[in-house]
Amino acid sequence: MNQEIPQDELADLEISFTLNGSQVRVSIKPWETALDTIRNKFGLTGAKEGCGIGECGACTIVMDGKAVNGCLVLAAQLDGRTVETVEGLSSNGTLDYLQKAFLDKGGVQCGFCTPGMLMSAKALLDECDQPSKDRITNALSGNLCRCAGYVQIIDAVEDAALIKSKDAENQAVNR
Amino acid sequence: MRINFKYLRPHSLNECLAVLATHGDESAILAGGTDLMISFRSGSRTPRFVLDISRLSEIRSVEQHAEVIKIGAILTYSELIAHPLIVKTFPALSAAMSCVGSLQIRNVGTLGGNIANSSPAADSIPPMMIHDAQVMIQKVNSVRIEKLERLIVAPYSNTLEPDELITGIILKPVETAYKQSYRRIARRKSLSIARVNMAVSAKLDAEGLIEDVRISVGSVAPTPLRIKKVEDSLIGLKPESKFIKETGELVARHIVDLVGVRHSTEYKRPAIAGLVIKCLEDVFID
Repeated sequence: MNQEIPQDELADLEISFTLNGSQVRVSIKPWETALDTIRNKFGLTGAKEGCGIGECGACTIVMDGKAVNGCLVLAAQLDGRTVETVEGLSSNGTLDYLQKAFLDKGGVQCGFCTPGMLMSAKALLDECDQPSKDRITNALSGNLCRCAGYVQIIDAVEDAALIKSKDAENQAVNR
Repeated sequence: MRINFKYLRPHSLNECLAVLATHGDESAILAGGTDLMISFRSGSRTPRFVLDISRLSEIRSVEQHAEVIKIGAILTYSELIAHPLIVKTFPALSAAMSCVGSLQIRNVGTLGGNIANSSPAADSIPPMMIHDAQVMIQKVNSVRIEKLERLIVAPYSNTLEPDELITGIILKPVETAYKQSYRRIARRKSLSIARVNMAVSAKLDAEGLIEDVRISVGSVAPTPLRIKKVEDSLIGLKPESKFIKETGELVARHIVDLVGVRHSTEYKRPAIAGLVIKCLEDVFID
């Protein structure tokens, strides 16, 4: 602790950002991580703290369209950004393509890595409709699964991409 | 987090430099945060102020000048790997940046941060050294340009003063006749620290003899370094496979002479030699 710092310097900060589509305002400590804020202030406990040093990816959230480690981002850095977490994937009780595919392909074992895996995959599919297997592996290489279910997880992302783009095609045809 | 600090997000480079002028010695600069946040967690850094420079637009562009390309210090690895001019002009650097950490790390980590952290194993530094990289460093009302090789002086240590900020990296492109390679050895592909990493850039003359060769090695000495003595000895020679093998041994011997025999030498000596051979094959053998 830095005893000599005047208390007013350590005052809480007010930040606002878009969280899963809603504009939010929150008071934070300057040294609070984005992960802590999302979990503790908003009760969104999908993102997990695994290693806390950016090696496991369990805390992956999507910030301005990019997958980032929530444990390596200060909450203060979220100010003005758009943030997506695993809780924002489903809408009105309907699972997202990725969530469905993870269930269908057995991409979930203990589940600890799953929210992070889903968010890395979500950032990828938002950027690229039909990623190659290599690109998927690369996008998920910052997410560790200690159940070692990688094959099923990569299958699931491939499957989700396929179904998502087929649905998009069908919708375009029906229009 | 075990520490507390005041978070500042300067709105301009001048504002940032002004804060550094008065509080530089009690400030930490946050660019990508991938090293800094870990040091907060471990308690190894306890600044009074954290200066978030990640949104300073003045230092996040790639500029093409007549002889050099200037890269803004806070561009992320992901932004640079997606930049056509960077990928085309600096293939070894692009390959190295693709090896950094994981996608999550590359989405926030910056080239300026990699230099400021001054790790002996930094992925981006050897491939910048083969372009005779210079670092643009600013403080209030002054700019200094320092050779990257001179800036980093020891593991995690450099000549940056508390009131200074790395604002850009100046790289000299090479002619298209040059071929380049970047390779690393690590425990695994992603999220790993290089045990040996290396960048090579070379050009043959019309007779197929070596006209220029640059070799930079990381993770084997207190700082990443160019092996100029070996480079010079190769000029004018024909790059045949026997010669490439000998050069591998030569570089390894040179580094052992430089840093002395250490616990890791038994492993690193053949690893360095092997990596030199692979890099030279990349640039000399199609």
